[in-house]
This record gives sequence, C-alpha cells and structure tokens, in this order.
Amino acid sequence: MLVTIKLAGPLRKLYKEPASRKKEEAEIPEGSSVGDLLEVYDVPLKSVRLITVNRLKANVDTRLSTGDEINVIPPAAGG
Amino acid sequence: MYGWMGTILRVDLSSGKIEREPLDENLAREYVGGRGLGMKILYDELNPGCDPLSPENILIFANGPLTLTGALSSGRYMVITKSPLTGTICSSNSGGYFPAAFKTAGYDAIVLKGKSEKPVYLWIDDDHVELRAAGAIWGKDTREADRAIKRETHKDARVACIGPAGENLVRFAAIINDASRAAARSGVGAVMGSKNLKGIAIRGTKGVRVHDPEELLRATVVADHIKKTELGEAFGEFGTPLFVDIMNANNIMPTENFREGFFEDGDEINGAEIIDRTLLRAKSCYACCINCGRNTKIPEGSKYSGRGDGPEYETCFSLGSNILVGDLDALTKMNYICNELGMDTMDAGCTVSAIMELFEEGLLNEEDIGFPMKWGDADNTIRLLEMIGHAEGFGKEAGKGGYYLAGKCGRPELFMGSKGQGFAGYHPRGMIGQALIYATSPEGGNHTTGNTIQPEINGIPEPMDPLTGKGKPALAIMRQDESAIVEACGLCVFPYMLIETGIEILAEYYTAVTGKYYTEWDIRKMGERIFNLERALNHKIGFTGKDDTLPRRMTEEPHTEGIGEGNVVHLDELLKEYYELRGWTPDGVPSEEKLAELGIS
Ligand code: SF4
Repeated sequence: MLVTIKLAGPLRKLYKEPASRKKEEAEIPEGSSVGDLLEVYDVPLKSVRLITVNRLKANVDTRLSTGDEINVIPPAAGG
Repeated sequence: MYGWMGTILRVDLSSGKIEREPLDENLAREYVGGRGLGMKILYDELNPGCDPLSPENILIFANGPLTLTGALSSGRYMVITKSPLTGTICSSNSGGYFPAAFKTAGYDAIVLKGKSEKPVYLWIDDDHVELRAAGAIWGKDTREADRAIKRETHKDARVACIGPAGENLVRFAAIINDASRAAARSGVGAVMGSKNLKGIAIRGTKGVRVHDPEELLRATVVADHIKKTELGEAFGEFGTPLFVDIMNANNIMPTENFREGFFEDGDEINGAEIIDRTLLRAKSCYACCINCGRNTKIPEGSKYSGRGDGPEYETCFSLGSNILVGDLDALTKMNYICNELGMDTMDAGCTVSAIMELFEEGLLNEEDIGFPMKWGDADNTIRLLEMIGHAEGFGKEAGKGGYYLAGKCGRPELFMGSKGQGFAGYHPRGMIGQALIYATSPEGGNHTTGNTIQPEINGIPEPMDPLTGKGKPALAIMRQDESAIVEACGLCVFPYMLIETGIEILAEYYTAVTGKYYTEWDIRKMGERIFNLERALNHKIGFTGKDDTLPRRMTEEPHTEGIGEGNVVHLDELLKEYYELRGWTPDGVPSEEKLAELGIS
C-alpha cells in the first residue's frame, strides 16, 4: 500500500529520494504499523517527539492504511 | 564588583545634562541587572500615571552581570519602560553586537529622561558621552540611519536606532540594533521617538571582570555540549522556523486570527523552505553558539525583492499563518519592511489579522482602509505595513494597534492578545500553561516573559498534557520567574528555556562571575522578586487581576478539529490557583506579606 511520509526538520535527510524535500510516498506491506515505516526509513526513535497520522496523535503501534499521511516531528529541546 | 561595570549613565534629554552614577551594590545584588535593575529604577522613579509618550516616561537600556562574560548566549540587552501599547511596564530584549559595545563602554544601564527639543542621537565612546544633532538622520529607515550614524561617529560603533515607525509613534514600533536585531515588543521604539532620540551609538573597549574564569570556562564547556545536542544542531541548521513544523503538527500554529491551530501551507514557510529558497547564512548574536538567526535574500525573479534578516518563527506565524499568507517571498518581504521601518512583526501581524477579520465582518471596509484587506492578501498587507510605518492614511489608525482598532469597531474581542499586546505563535487553546502565562504576564501576550514549550510540547523533564490545566499554575510561575532572572542576567531566554538544566547552569555562571556562591534556589528567588516587582509596579499604574484576561475565542470557542478538538481555556479556575500559589490577593495583586518576604519596598 502507498502512504505519504513527512520528516520534519533535521529528519528530512532520511528521505530515500534525494529530491524529496517536503514529503515522500512510500510503498509498504499491507498491515504495516508506524513502527515498521520508521524502520524502513531508519528513523531513530530518540529523535522523534511526536508522530501524527492524518493529523491525529499516533504511536509506533498505530496500524496504517492506504493513503495515510504520517508526520514525524523531532523534539524542540534537548540537553 | 565582578560582572557589573559599576556605572549607570543618566541622560536628561530636556536639559542635555549627562551624569554618571556609581551602581549601588545592594541594588545590583537584589535586582541583578538588565530587566531586574531596569524595573527597579522604574519602580523607584516613574510617575505611574504618566502618559507613556510624554517626557515624563523613563526609557532604560540595561545589560546584565553575565552579559559578555563568556556565558552561553550572553550578548543581550533589554529596554525597560512604560509601554505605549499596553500602558503596563515592559522589558524588550535584543541581541546582536550592540550589547557587547554597550557593556564594554563601561555601563550597566543608561537611563533616559525628558524630551529633546530637536532630534538627537547619543554617542558614547567609552567615557566620552555626547548628544549630537540628528536632524539629517531623522526620517531615515533603520539601515540608512545605522550607516549614517556610523559614518558620523566611528566605523566600529554599534548602533541601536528607530525608524520612521518610532518617529511616528507607532504603538508597536521597535528599536533596531545592528540594522537587524530588534528590541521589538511593547512599542519601546515609540517611547524613543517621543523623546526625539533617533539612536544610541556606542564604541566600547573595556574588559569585563570575572571572578573565576576557570570555573566559568568549566560551566561553558557544559553549555557547549548543548550545541552538540539535537537542540543546538537543529536550531543552528533550521533556525526558529523549525517551530513551524512542530507547532503545526501539534495543532497550535495560530491560523486565521487564531481561529485554528493548523496552517495548510506550513511547508511553504518552514525552516526547510527557508534553507532551500532564501537562506544566505545562519547568524548568531555575540557570544552564542546556537546561530538561530537567518540572513536571507529573496531570489531573483520573484515579484518581491530584497536582502536582510529573517523571518524568525514568530514572524512565520504572525505575518504568515495567522493572515493566511503561505508565500515565503512575500512573508520575508514583510519582515524586511518591518525591520527597516522599525516595527514589531508580531504586533504588526496581530493587528493585520484583526483588520482582516474586521473587514470580513464588514466592520471595516475599503473606504476606511483605501483597499480591501482579505485573508491571504500579501500585497495589500505590504501596502498597509508601509502606511503604518509612515503614518499615512488608515496606517495612522492601524499604528495604534489591533486592540485599539478592534475596540473602535466595537469588537475588542477580535484582537488576539492580552492587555493589548498580541500573542506569540503558540495557540492558547492547545497549550494551557502558555495561555496562563499570556494572561498573567505583566506586559501582555508575550512568550519571553515565560514559555512552556519544554514541558508541554517536548515532555521535558516530565511530559505534561498541554490540553489540560493540571499543574499549570505552578508551571507558569516557575517559567515566569526563570525568564525574569535570565533576562536580568543579560542572557537570551531562548536556550535557557529549552535546556533542561538551564537554571542550574545559570547558577554556576553567576557564582563564577560574581565570586559569591549562588544556588539554583537563590537564582529562582531573585527571578520571583523581579516578577513580583513588575506586578507591584503594574498595580501602582492601575492594573489588577481584572486585566488578566484572554479573548473569548480562547475561553469559549473550542478548537474545531485535530489534536485538542473541543478544547478551551478554563481561565478563571487557573487564575484562582495561580494567585494562591503566588501568594497574591484574590484579585491578583502581590500581597503585603509577599512583598515583605521578597524585600520589595
Ligand atoms: S539563541 Fe539565537 S537569539 Fe539567542 S543569543 Fe543565540 S543566536 Fe541570539
């Protein structure tokens, strides 16, 4: 199934296509979860503060469906 | 004294008299410097009932004991006065290189009183201080004025000046230093204009004495580690516009005059888009490793043109999402115009968004304004900003601020701010702690007198649900006091508010610089003293808890979709707990006991 992934700020270097700047389409197996998708993109979980699916809060266990838009947000603080 | 320079410069603009006064050590110990010291001078010397734009008002520039010591983000200064926008006291903070010159010229504060008969600027070359005629510079924009003053004084001088907006007494006029950094908020530029003071140019060559340089270096190494964290790297690379992604995803990026918290075109005006389209280089203030500033150029071929600094996140919201402009070039152009004319982009934006809603409601029309002001109309917004800065036509009215205008149209609740100052870019309905800070801030809707991003959005040190009021009064108090002490020390709020151990590091700095042992608790107590002093001074002016309000949109009109759907701010309950925890009276005034406990007299 096809979903759209958006990797915000410093995470954008993890897009598969070098030309992708704002979002990218990803083909993943039916029944995949957010966690599966993040693995495909090698997103380290410690660099993630918020995940939304279709603009609602989600987590790594959230199941995805065709056409979903997944937004991955890094933290705005550290130290 | 270590840390402080030991001298306050006093300038009476009416008589032209210039005096030096030794800094009272006790005063410095209790109120530190910057925002604290400035506020105490105001508390002691201001006629609370004075018109902010009259000669009676006092304009204070102050740096802090940690300014320029090598402490992280220590290139800052503050402007403290009575605000013509809100009628409250205010403190506006700026960075760049001017603060370094200010301190190394040998002064902790400059206190300006009265009004010059003719336009002047103040030239400070270490111990040499003089007022010079500014007739030929009056009317120039901030970049031209910066250049002209440098030509007349010294090529190494650093300049803080006003543009046409300050001269025309626009209630949200800024003071711009180093031609791009702004002491932006509360109309401090209009107070300077009302005194016929075009600028202050300073060249400083003195050193700052630090008690224990080795210890300071050790603390700085700790702070330097911050740069290597994701925070430092992300903000160095993307600047504060990284917040566009974060706030939009959290459904708290104010959109369409705060009707909602999500802007569809957020990707067009975020940090990544700036890097790909307009960024020339990241820029830092003196003595800061974060590099969060943006030096930019609108690309050739765009219908807009120019080169300058910005936008910061706050401008991405105020002149972007909140007026539905999703065009980075247009937004950047608006930012340049505000910098050049010397206006706060945040209150300019909150005024424009109120005008757009009033226009939609039919309460303002083309005849009033001269043209339509529809949502997303970048070109007419640019026109209007120019008219405001130059006080032309409807711009003269709009320059009195969005709260004034909305009130004049009979709908004050359509201005999105508190005490007449526009909110920052964090939607109160989706960030309840921040909502309480806006309502109780002594200067109105601003985010530098306290912000709750770290616990409410980042979950540090403990996650707090941003949508509920639980624990928020205590949180708001802690963050407000922290911000007060950071600004009193002469530091930038931004990194200290985002680093988990910010206040701990600050205590180490303070000890190393002054040579007296300060714990984190001592540091927080000083912050509490300053904040209470501000509220006490506001009370002398006539403000009480009745003024701690939010527009109906925050308390009665819920978020309609997304994260936080259905949420509103239950302000009354929050305020009750907040005043109790503060030790204030039920009507929001610092009690006699509290003032005595803090030694405020
Ligand atoms: S964090 Fe940004 S605004 Fe603050 S001192 Fe550093 S560069 Fe300047």
